[in-house]
Amino acid sequence: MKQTLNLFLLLLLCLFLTGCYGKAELDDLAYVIAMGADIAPNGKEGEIQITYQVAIPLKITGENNETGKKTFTTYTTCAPSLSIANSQINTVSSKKIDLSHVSLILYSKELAQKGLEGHVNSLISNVAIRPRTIVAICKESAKEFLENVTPTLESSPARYYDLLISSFQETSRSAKTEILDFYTASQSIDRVPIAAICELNDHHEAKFSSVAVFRGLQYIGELKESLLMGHLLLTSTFHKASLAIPYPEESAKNITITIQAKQKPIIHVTITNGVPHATILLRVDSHLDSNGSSIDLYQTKTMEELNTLIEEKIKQIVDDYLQQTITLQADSAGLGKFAKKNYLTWNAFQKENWKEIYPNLTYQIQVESNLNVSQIIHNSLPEFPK
Amino acid sequence: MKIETSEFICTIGCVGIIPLVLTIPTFNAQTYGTGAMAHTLYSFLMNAIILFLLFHLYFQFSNQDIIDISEYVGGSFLKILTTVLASVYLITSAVLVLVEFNENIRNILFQNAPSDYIYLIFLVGLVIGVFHGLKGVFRAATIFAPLILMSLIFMFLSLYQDIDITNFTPIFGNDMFLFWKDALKIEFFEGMLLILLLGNTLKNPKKAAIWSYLFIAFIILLITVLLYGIIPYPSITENYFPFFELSRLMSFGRFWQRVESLYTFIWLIAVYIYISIGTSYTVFLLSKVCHLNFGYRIAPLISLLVISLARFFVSYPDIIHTRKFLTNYITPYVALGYPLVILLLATIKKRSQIHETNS
Amino acid sequence: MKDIFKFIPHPIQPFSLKEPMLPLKSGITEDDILSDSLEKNVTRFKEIFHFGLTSDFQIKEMEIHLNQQTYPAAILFFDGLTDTQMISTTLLNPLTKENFYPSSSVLKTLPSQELENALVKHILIQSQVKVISHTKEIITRINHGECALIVDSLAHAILCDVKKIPSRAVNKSENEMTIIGPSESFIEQLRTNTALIRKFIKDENLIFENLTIGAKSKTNCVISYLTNVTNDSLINEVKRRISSIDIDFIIDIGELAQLIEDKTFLLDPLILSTERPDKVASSITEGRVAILLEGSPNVLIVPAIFSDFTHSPEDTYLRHPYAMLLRFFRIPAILLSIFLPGIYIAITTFHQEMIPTDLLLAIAGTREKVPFPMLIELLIMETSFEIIREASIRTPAPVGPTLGIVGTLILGQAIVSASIVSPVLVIIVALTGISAFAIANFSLSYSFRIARFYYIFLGGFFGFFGIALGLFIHMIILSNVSSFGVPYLTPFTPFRKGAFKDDLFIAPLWKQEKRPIFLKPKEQNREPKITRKWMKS
Repeated sequence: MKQTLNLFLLLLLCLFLTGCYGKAELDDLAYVIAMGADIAPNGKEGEIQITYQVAIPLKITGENNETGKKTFTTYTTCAPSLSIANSQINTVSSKKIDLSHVSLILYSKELAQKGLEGHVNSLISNVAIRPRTIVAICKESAKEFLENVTPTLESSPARYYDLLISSFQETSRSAKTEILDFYTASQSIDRVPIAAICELNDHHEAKFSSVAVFRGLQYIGELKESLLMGHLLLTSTFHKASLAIPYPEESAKNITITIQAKQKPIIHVTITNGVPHATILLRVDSHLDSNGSSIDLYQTKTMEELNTLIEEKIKQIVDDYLQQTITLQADSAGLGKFAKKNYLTWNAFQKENWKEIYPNLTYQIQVESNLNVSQIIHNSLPEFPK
Repeated sequence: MKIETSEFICTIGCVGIIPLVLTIPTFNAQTYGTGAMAHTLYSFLMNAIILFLLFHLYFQFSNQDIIDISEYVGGSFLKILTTVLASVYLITSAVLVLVEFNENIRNILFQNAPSDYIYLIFLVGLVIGVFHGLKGVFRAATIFAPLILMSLIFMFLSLYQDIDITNFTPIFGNDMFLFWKDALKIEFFEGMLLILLLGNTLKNPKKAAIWSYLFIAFIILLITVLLYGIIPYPSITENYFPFFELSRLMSFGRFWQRVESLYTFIWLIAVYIYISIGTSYTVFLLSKVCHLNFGYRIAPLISLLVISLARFFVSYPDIIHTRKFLTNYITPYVALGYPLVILLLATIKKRSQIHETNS
Repeated sequence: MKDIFKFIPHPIQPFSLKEPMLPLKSGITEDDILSDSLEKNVTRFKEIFHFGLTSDFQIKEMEIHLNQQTYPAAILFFDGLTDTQMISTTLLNPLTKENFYPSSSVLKTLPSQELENALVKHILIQSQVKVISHTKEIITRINHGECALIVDSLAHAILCDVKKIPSRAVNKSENEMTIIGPSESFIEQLRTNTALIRKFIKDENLIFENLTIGAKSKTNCVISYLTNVTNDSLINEVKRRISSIDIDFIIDIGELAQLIEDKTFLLDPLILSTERPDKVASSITEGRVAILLEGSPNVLIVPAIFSDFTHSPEDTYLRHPYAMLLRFFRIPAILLSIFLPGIYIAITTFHQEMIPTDLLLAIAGTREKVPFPMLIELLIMETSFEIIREASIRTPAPVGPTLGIVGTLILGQAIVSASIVSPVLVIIVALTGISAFAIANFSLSYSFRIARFYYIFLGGFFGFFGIALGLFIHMIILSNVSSFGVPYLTPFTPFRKGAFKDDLFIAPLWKQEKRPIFLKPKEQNREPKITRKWMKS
């Protein structure tokens, strides 16, 4: 018994003496908040220019911190892979580069047009990179974006990106494109990957609008910003959007409606002789925001009319969206997923070759809106004298 | 000292998440494609039938474990054969789990550490676990099982929104024939076969069998639904640590993200229990068969054996191939086939004896 | 071998360094009895008690007047242990005045038997009078504060209980405070303590069984249980353990606890020690055994399981929702006090990805100027916290608040502004320390304080891997331990019904129908299915 105990103590001693692998002091690390990739300016094949945006904790927590000031620094290098880039940057940066807090991965449009094979794979296989990290396409160069972006309301860039990206729930003008989803879509045969598009405005503020559509991992086009609501509705990621409905009788004035998702879309896709056909049923809740017209919405008839107008408007948006995907020949809405259930085995579905037959898509859209008019009470009050 | 039903069920629950954490769901996805989910349900059914048969035969010989039964069938030769098979099987599974976890741990936590370093940490827990005997491990598992179950349910709650049912289709996956052919995926329910070895040390084996089956099935279902539902087919086959990947996906708002380290904690505990059970049962078996009074004294020895066997595996593909080989060609025959044969023979012998005495 | 130490009667022992003076008492065997000569006896006792050398031993020689005869006698007692007032009223006064005893004898002087009767039954107005002839027992009783009366021609001593052992009054419990419920605490006097218990359990089945510990100290020890409830094998085990202790002196019950506990090196306590009579009483009614020791203001309760240490007697006095609240917050307190520093260091040195980015940057910002590695920083803080805590117990009461201010406010403020530790760490250590105080039992919080350091090292060296290893080993060890045959973690492992009802949380009083199942009491139910009969009528 005593011997065993001694043996153990010896073993434990060994453990504690052999050093602590993987140990890193929290303040000895440089936390990369966003990273970007561009085509290498030196034009070398197989190299990309990687830019890291690293937060400076002291500036964020410092006593006289102000918003609108830069609380980060950037490091740029050209390297064939992520780990080489890390080691190259570590020669400059005093702290060790840590990728576990990356919340935004940017690719320049140029690079995306050349294709992102290899880059996305290396990110996916990296344990430090979160599967839920946002991937976005930058209209200008990623380096420029990361160097110049200036958050106005936040001191922490990480919070800035997180909040900015999740604002799509309010606006319905962008989409949350996570890297795992981006990657799995690129591998799958029933849909294509998409990535949010971002750019800097004149005040050096980031703006996320619209999404880029890929085929495989190659950029092929961009969806119209105004049609993105259709995309969100079909992929059941829609939360809320505002629509302005011109009322036929007073077309100069608009009635503003807020649309909210009621339930997931009901989509059935069948393929007959190489022609896919989709039936789509969308159910939404609508709320009246403001009524700029003098129409009395208190009437049941007018309400029904308005509801039909809303339904038609949404239908129009979804229709336009699908038309655009057909033109791009890319199933960004992932309608192929719904065709799978008609097949018993994977091979049978694979034979249909969804990506090839997608442009032949015919569809039928039905929208059911449920107009909530509780706010109409205000409008039933006598109008103010003009 | 009897092992109580609750202790057994909890232990089997802890052991039951090991195949999930290991690559078995990935293997299934590689073989059955999108049909993996349906196949899991199908194999639950088939496993239930075969396990019912096995335990139905076994419960005829109350108060006896499989070693006593094999002695009854074929004398000391079969007794020793069974003991050797059981010990080798237990040690092999412990070794494989250890090796695989060592690799995973090094990938996730200690990127620069040599594998021996990790083995050393495992060894400390293993020796202490084995030294305290089966009873200690079973009891400790009772504490950990609710913890593990809660964390799995928590994981399900945070991820169920991401499940895409279309990922389960086409329902039969890659190949219809393959789907129906490989009905018995016993590796999920491997732990239940411990009942055969525990014999009369278990208080209520019938209850234990039923509840542990349900418990494991619940856990496996909870996680496989998430796994196959969230990560679609072609990508999932590339993932050699699916459970970890799932925990990386968890996020509750902006603050509660990146909880996978907490889940490494959960599966590390499960691994400790798994290897301790395997090793301490081997110690128990050896001391029973060799009539050792102080069996715990060989505990450090067997633990060292497990660790040193584990050191033979060097590369990750090696491990994957060995595991594939084991799950396909060894486990069904050794863990399921062999006891079934022994029990059938014993039943025949018993019946004929009863027949003789009656006539 | 024993014969060497036998008593050799010579009055003065020659002093020498090499041969230490042997205590006289060791030479007295069990069957030494008194002689009937007063002179001999007195000389003997003078030797035994080192009369003249020790100042508090008193021999008062006197004459008893009985039937117009005088009998020389002497009383022996320790001044200070006895009540001198009582000696004069109950012994000296009645004995020295003229007494009359109707004798059957024709002789003037009474025969010894009658003399004894006259003294015991007639003259001495005392409730506890014993006639003893064995020298050894007489010595023990005198040591315990009784007064011995030796009369010429009697080969017996008459011992009267005139104890007045100095002790304090029954005070408020200071270490186990509650807001609601009785607040008395035990004192150093055994009989008072038993009375305090019997005050709660007025039942004839409540037994206070006497045992003696200490070959030389002969300390009285009492085990208390309910004969119709407590499991016999438990009582026998307690008796077996206590009576088999072979030790010279025992001062406090803490020593006794160490001698009878199952595992010495285990971190967690296996015997519950309390100073609250109500807690002891309720434990006895559950079917446990309480152990009391003379001169000790604490009482041991065996067997004790882990969850007992987390309970406060207040839990049952409070209304159910409030008690639930207390129990609910005690769980995180326990977890925090063990794991918080370990987990903090594991996360900050190994799993930085786990911390939310904003928080991480905040922590990194505050740590920017701190020169120490995280582990050293934490150890500095924990050590100084432990020192402050230890010091605050030892500080004289008037200085106490000053220490609190210096220790916590000034030191804490200075250490942060000097950038020796980061403010986050101060929060962590303070939270851990406060959590430890929320644990109802003091000895359990000791064990947590030790365990915390283990987890700090494991977390600091191996991250969560180390903590998992530590927890696994911790649980394996704890689940293998038992206290007087009861598994330590019992309602949880091995799992018993009512683990969540009675141990993790608390059921309403009318639902606590069963006594703890692991005690295997003779009567399982402590209340019928329907306790509140008025609900039915």
